[in-house]
Amino acid sequence: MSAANFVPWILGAILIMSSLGVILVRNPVHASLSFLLTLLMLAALYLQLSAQFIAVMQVLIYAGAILVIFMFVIVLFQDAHQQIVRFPPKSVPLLLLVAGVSFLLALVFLGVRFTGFSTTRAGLPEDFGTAQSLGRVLYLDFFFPFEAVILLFLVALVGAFYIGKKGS
Amino acid sequence: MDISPMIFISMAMFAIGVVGVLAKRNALIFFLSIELMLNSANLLFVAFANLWGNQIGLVWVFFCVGSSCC
Repeated sequence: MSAANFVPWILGAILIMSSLGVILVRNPVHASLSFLLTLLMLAALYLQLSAQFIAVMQVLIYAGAILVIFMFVIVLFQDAHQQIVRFPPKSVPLLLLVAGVSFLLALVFLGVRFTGFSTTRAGLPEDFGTAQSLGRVLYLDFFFPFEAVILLFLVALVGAFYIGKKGS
Repeated sequence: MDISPMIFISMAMFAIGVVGVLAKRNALIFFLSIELMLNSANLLFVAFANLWGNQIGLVWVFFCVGSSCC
């Protein structure tokens, strides 16, 4: 049992280091690869929390689709984004201050706002995190938000077509 | 499974994402930092779904991934 308690901390240490790598590494390709490591560690944490379907979805969608799109953008606009979207550098102490303040704000918010929530562990249902049970909740209880997500995808698709057509 | 490490990891990840957005040198790093913040929220959703033993948190992770895909 004590060995199992260390696993989330180890995964979390790797996750935090790789997500620091995302913002510290200069090369965008290296940042994307660091983000890939972050996503894989996150999927491992989801498996620790016995959410199997979410873990598989994380790897398939994020690592498989979104990161590949990032890579495409890097490859296709290699010289363009060097010139157009360069932001002036900001001072490091200010950023550290902002990081510390946001972390402390999160701590205070967690302490003040969420003191009343139940920490008693409800037993996990038998089929927690499987595709069947998630699909049942998604299609029966959350049907209209699901349709709204479909509409969002349609709007994104039409917008992408419009931008692509305007460019050519 | 104790979820307190997950809460700590999620908070640290969110702070890193905020710094990445503010320190943007590059539009790609900017978007990756936004994804980091979204993923920290997802981790918290899954952790509390595990704590309370219901599936609703997992459904919100689904929606969050869907909208960040767009």
